[in-house]
Amino acid sequence: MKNSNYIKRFIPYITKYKLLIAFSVIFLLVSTISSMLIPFLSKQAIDKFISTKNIQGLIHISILIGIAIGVLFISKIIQIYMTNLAGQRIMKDLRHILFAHMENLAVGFFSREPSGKIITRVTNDVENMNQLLSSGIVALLGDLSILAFSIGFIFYINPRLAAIVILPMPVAILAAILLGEKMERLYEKVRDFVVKMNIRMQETLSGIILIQIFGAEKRESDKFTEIAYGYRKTFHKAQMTSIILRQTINILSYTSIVLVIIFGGLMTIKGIATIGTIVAFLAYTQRLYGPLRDLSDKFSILQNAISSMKKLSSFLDEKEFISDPENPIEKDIKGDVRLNHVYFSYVKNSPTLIDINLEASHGKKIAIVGFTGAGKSTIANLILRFYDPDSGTVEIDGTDIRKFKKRFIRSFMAIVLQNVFIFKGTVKDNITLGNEKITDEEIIRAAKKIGVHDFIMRLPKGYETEIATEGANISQGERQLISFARALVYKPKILLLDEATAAVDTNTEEIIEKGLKKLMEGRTSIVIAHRLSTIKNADMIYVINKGRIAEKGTHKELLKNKKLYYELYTMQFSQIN
Amino acid sequence: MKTIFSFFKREIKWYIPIMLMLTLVDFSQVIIPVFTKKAVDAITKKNTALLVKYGIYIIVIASGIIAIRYAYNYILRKLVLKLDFELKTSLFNKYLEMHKGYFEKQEIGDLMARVTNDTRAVRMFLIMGFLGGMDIALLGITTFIMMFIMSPMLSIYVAIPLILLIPLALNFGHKIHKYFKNVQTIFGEMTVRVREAISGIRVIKAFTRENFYLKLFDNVNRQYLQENMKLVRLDGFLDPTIDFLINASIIILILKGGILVIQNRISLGTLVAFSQYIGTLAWPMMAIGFTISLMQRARASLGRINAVLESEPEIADNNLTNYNIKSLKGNITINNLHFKYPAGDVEVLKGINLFVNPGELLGITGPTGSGKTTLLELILRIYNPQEKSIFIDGHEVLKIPLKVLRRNIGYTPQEPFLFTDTILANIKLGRENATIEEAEEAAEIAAIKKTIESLPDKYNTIVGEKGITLSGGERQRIAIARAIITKRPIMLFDDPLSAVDTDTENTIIKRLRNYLRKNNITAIITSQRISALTIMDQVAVLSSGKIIEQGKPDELFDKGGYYYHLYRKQMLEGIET
Repeated sequence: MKNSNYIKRFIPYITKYKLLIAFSVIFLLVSTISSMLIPFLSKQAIDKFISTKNIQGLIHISILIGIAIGVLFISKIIQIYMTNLAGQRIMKDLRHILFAHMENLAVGFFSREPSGKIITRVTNDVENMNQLLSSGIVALLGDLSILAFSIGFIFYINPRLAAIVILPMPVAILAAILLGEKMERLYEKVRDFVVKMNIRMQETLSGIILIQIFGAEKRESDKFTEIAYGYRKTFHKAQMTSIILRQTINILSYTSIVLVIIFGGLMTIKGIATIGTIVAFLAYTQRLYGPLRDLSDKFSILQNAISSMKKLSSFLDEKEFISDPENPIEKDIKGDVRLNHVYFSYVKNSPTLIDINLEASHGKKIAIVGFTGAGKSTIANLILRFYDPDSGTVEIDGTDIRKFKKRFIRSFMAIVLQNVFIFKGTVKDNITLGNEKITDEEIIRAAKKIGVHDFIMRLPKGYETEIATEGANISQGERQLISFARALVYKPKILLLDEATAAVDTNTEEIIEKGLKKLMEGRTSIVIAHRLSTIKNADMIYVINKGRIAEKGTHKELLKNKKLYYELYTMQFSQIN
Repeated sequence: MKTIFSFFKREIKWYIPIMLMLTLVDFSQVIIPVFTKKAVDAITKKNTALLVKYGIYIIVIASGIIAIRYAYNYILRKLVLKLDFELKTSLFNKYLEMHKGYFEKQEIGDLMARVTNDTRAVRMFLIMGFLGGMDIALLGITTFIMMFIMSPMLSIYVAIPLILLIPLALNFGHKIHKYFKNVQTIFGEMTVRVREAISGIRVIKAFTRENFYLKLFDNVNRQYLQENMKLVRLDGFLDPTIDFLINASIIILILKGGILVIQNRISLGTLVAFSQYIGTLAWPMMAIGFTISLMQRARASLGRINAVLESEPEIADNNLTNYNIKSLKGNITINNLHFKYPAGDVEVLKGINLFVNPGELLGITGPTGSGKTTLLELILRIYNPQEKSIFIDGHEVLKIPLKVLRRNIGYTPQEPFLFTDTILANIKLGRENATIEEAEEAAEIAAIKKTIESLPDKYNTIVGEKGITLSGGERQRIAIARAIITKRPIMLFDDPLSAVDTDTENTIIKRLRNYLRKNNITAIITSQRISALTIMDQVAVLSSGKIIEQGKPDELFDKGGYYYHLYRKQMLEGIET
């Protein structure tokens, strides 16, 4: 796809603020013109009034210059403000769209794509695109108009002198492009070194105790020193390239100045130019070379922005959705769950579930057990419609769940996961997940039922205590209890427990089991477990092996069968007998 | 400050050449307008020869300036980057010496920022501050003197607006930095919001809370716009205001200077020279402000850098260290050990007594929070135990050289940390010169060999944060292999099997026991798993920091205490019904 096509996609975001952008361009032109007028008016002042000793006229023209300065000042401030406001608003809109788009993507997308990459899309890439407007397009437009007006004015004042003075310009432009490119490459390398340095530090500091105990300090130090040395050398090279560039432009600008003085002087002596011309030319040459000094910076910002734009575009093109039906069914849900000849694979030709038939009727507790990797969690994923089966159906109350809106059917379910995810916020926020319909009484009742109320009340601010990111300041078991309370306040008809007690030690286990019992009362529960003690009293136990249901039955029946379940159950204690 | 001063002392030979070059450049820069004045006056006198002569002077001086600028920039930047490099590596090496408690008090991000951001502040001050300072002293003052010689009255008039640049640059620099930090903080919060939406996506979707988290994101998104616009409102004033003040100076020049020319009190050449001086005078004025604000930032950063460089590692050899101890055999004696974490006031260990013979295997069990991990960490001196409480081979651990202590103990921490590197490098962490066969042997004992060999790159597969994702159990097994390969006489395993499934657990325990026996290694293993505890020579039960039971596994079983109940419980789960 061509760059223009990428740009096209983002045009609607920009046209929303077209008035703001139009005004910033107008003010940009106003400020450029008034800045260009100053040397021209200075010339008039010298030639028309100072040379003719006309003080009155000099005062008049000074007032004009004063007005130009004032206009320049005000228009510049307005232009900067408006350009940035437009840019920031566009970015805010874009971020909103990106975040909403991200939330709608299927769960599969998140297990495939590294989270760092997704985060970069919503944050840094948008930031880069902002540069496209403020530092890229508008700045380049500004530079171009300065160049155009400067050249225009000098040719207007004295075409012959202008033609001579402008001679070093092509060389300067060439240098700006060539050296600029080299410089940009070097700075890119410098940034790479910084990234490497940060990764190194992050690693070392996270594993510092191991490094000390295993005696790997020297090696770590050497690795870091090598990177730091590369940084030092490359950075020096990059800095020197930028200095060469700057000095090259400086010498060429001096050359132009000298050309103005000598040729302008010669012309003045001959009477075809004036001192005022020389003064004006000196001012214009300075402005001519100004934009060249950071031309390459601006180009690299533009390139950066365009590459971010492409990434954003393909992120927005991501179509991995679980779609809703056109005519969704809405009805009261009791909570009967059925899997009907379900086949599913994450990766083609490598089936995860093969012909699964499973039933959990209203108010019943079923369990799914099996080795790690047997496909147990996948079943929960299908019931929640995080994925759709390759063939077969998942039914709730006898209706294929694809006939409901996903959010509708999910609103009757709750899930508790092995690794409880704690959101940034208070304990209360983590129980309600921001649902304002849930009252404080409901929260407390749920917490009491689960047996976590006393723990919460012991926290510094009770339910209003901020939990550190990722739940660092509370234990695994306490997190788990909070997630039970979360599931309870949502009053689900169907409860999915995915290895909810796996990471809990024996001590906490009893409290948790009590909480679990309360949680499951009166609802359809589907318990995925490898800790078999929690599921002994299930109404039906399904044993999954290599994607298939190997056997099913109650605890007693399965033990009698002396097959896989029996093996699983006694394995832990084989040492004893 | 020591680091910086010693650096300056070492590089003292470079000061004089740099200063000389800067002086030369600054004076030359002041001379150029003098020749411009002479050239313009030559024009008014219609003297072509003089005009060309002064033109050539200007270009020659300009070339000289450029060459010297290149030279001093080369040296100065090389020196500063060398210092920067030394600061970075000294900081990093300091971190490598610090104890665990230090990293608990400090955020890793903050420690990293000292290596990257704070050194940058110092670097910027040393380059910009130094050049700025020299320019202020030389360029600013000499320019003003030259102007004053040409026309005292005009130079005072023209300087008035320029003097306002000093407080402007000073205040703006400071505030902009502050606002910029606010913007970065909000940006960080925004990243947190995106990250948590990604990590918690299953919960968000299952509880249909997409809109709420979008709303939370939008709040930060809006705040980000507001903070950015606050910065723009300030930052956007800076450039126009600088332009305005310089232009104000020019208008004064034209009006006042023009009148003086009309009155024949100065020449037209002086007027032109002044117009050039305004450009050269503006920079040192701004530099005063910038330099001061850079200096303030650099001082704060240097303070943060020095805080690290001057802090002494709390756990290190001292005058008690007995350097005659070269190796350890493996007798561990613990004598009435009490311990409180430096930050806490609760006693975690309350009078522990233990005795382990060389080659003996000790199992420690007990509920979460009973002090098992702490005990192992004290043996390793990850924290310092109280005096005369822990002895290895009869030497108090506090007197054993830290290197000797740590090079003789192998360790797997509770949380198995893998570095972003190959599996092989991770296994060989403690013995770089180990052969691939030894790594395979260790992997075999840890029952991870097959898994590794099934990976596409086998032992060269990159793992860790940036590499492929391994399960908790797989990581634990690599951590076990990492300890085993060191063949150290003492090994401490902290709950090494918690995430390993039951059948693999049995395999590992058997192999590990054979390996430890064969090599006569003293080992302490903490575990909740009865299968691991039954094969130990002795078992200690820790509860709330005290040993409540201790003895051979059989003896403990007969006692009918915690161990018996743990055993019964885990066994009953297997045999019941």
